[in-house]
Amino acid sequence: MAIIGNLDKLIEVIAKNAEEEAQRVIAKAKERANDIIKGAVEEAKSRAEREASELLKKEREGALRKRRSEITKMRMEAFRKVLEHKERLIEEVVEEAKRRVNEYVKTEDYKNRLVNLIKEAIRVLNGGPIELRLNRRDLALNLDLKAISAELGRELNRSVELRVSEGSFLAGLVAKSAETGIEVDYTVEGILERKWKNLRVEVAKLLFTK
Amino acid sequence: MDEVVTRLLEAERAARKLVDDAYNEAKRMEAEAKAKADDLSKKVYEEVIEGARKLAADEVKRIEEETLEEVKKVEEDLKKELENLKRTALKNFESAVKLVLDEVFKP
Repeated sequence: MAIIGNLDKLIEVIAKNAEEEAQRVIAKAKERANDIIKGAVEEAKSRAEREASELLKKEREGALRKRRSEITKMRMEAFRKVLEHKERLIEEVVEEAKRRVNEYVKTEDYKNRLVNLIKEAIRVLNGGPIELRLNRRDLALNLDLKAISAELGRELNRSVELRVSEGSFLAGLVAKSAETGIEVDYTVEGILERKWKNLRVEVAKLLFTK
Repeated sequence: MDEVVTRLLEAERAARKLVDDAYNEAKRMEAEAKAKADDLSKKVYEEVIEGARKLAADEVKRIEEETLEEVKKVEEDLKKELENLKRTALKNFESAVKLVLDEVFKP
């Protein structure tokens, strides 16, 4: 009887120990399962946050780069348009000046000025035989070239011989020494061309000063 | 005596089975946890990335809107500058023409 009683108790102990062992195993497995899930999620979240940060940075930088490029392009375009606009306005001044030259050449004042230009050219070329080119309209003015030659001959103390021919320009004259080959260009076009680089700056300064 | 041994062996066998079952259950739980971890990880990853994509799209849109505003301002400034130039040039037009004419007839 005593043996049977102890045996029951022993079997009970074995079963209880096994039950406790099984519960420990299950508890540990639950803990491990939670750790696996928690670890994996944290790792995925951390990786995703790193990639998200990179993605955001890349997209933002791309958009900012595009913005800088567009604004720079726009500003350069605006600058170009301002320059073009200024150029057009300067060109309008030149066109108006040419138009007025066409009016001015019909006046007596221009005739006097042309005479002075001829005299100035003779002085520069130091007299002698000079080929003088005038445009058709100015040739028709019938300037007293003999008187001019005589006056400058006296002034320069040497003979002045003017040979006149026709040139194609707006106004003014071209004179060339037959002796030296030196030529002076006092045509409106020639003067403008020579002076334009500096004159353009002056015109722009004057035109765009508030 | 045989009965005692038999009952002890049975008890041992039952205990071993209980523990073995527990280990098997633990393995199943681990496998299940790994599968669940994979699913959850993907979901969390996608959520975060999707959120970032949306945030980035909003940010890009904001920058694009600012760019448009700035472009508009550059255009408006240009328009004003061209108008000012025209107005100033008109005011000084006569003087500029006179300057050119003076230079043209001054060898």
